[in-house]
Amino acid sequence: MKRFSAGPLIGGVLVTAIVWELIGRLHAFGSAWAPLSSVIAYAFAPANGALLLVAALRTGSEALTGLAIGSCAGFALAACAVLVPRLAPGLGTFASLINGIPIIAVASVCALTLPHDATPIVVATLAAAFIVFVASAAGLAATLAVQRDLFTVLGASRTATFRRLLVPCALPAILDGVRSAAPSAVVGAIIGEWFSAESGLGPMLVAAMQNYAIARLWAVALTGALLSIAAYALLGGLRAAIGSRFG
Amino acid sequence: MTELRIDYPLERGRTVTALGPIDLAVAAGSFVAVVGPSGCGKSTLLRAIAGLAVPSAGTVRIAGAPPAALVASHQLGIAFQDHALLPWLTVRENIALPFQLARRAVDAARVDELIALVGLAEFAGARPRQLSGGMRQRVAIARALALRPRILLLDEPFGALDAVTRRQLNIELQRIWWDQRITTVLVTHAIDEAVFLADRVIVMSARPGRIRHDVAIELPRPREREILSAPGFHALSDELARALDAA
Repeated sequence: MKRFSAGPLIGGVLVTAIVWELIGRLHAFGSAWAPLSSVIAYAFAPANGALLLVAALRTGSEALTGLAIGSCAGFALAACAVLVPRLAPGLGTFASLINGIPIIAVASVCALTLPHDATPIVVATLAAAFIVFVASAAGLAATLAVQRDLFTVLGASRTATFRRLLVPCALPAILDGVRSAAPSAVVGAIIGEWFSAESGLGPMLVAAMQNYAIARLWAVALTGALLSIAAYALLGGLRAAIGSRFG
Repeated sequence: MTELRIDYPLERGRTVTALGPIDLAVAAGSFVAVVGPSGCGKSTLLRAIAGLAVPSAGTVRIAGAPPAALVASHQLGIAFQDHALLPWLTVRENIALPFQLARRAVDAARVDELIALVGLAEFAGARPRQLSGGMRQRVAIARALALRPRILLLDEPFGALDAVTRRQLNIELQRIWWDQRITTVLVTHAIDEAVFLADRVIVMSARPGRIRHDVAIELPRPREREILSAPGFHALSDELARALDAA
């Protein structure tokens, strides 16, 4: 397995931080671009840090719940398409249709029709489900013909073939899909919060924007980005651990 | 099999005959090898016996039953050129797979016996990627034998191996077959392999594949390495090479 090298990662972070700081200090994009140093100073002020942490935990738990439900739903749809091939075209179209609805529209409809606490989770679910559906469908179709022939000759039932061949073969692709869906779930949860929640990163973003609290706005945005990156990295670790056996 | 013919569809409703008509009876407990030019339908013949290819005409019967009946009762064993081992399972788990697919309790003693039979006791807990090509094929053969099948089908199982490993595995397969006495049909390109292993060698013609020669191999059993240099062995190999040239 390829060894992880921290050098490029640290280099990339440093370059981003320097460019961010310079743009902010030189007002290259106007006064609404806060220098990174002022964003960090805001975030590390004791009261602000606690607020950001509480908001991040709330958004994170909504995103995680949405990601879990969306992943299960995406996988279930893909499994139905494989187990009942006649349903495959219809399910693909259905998933594409749902994915085609702008997430802002989904969030506003959810805010009007669902309990307030449910909206961020539902939007995160929808944001994650399509990605996992596509990844699962591709993974479940990726078995080798010779493996399918073997299972046929050994008299495996359709369920046994699914459980003992298709799913293990698809596992790396499914985990890739879940990992890719994690940042979308965070974004979905934040957008869902904009429309309905009273706490979390979404409402903090709206409040900071309305009050022109630039450092706070950037601190919230940075926290959201870190949340997405953390989820992506954690799931990447899980993918690497499992992929070494199933890949 | 009686009057077996297999056609494949082409464009505009046309078909091409890949195989047949073929009449072939294989005695229970015998070892039959099938040789022929590339593309003559050897593997198609084996797939028809396994129930993986549907005859366009004629019938296949194994002990009076169609292949589907043997598949349903888990009485077919098969090994392909691609070992088709499941990479996430250990050697032991791969060999035990037929029990699970047949919804039977895993016979641990039988699995141990097969692991010993193919000489992989030290690698029982290894995964396929930790094994050499020859070892993987031994596992594939052990897996094919797990449920004591009524018929063992071998589709060029050693075709991808180097000459030395191939010869060694031929000797081992001969020993395993002598030990188990399962009716075996082997498809191979290698004449010396066919002569060393089989009681009977079928030479097929170029497409559409038909039986051109049926040669009895009356070399004494059990066959050891020394037989490979015996004059009788070479005479049979030459006879088959001439038949194959004329095919």
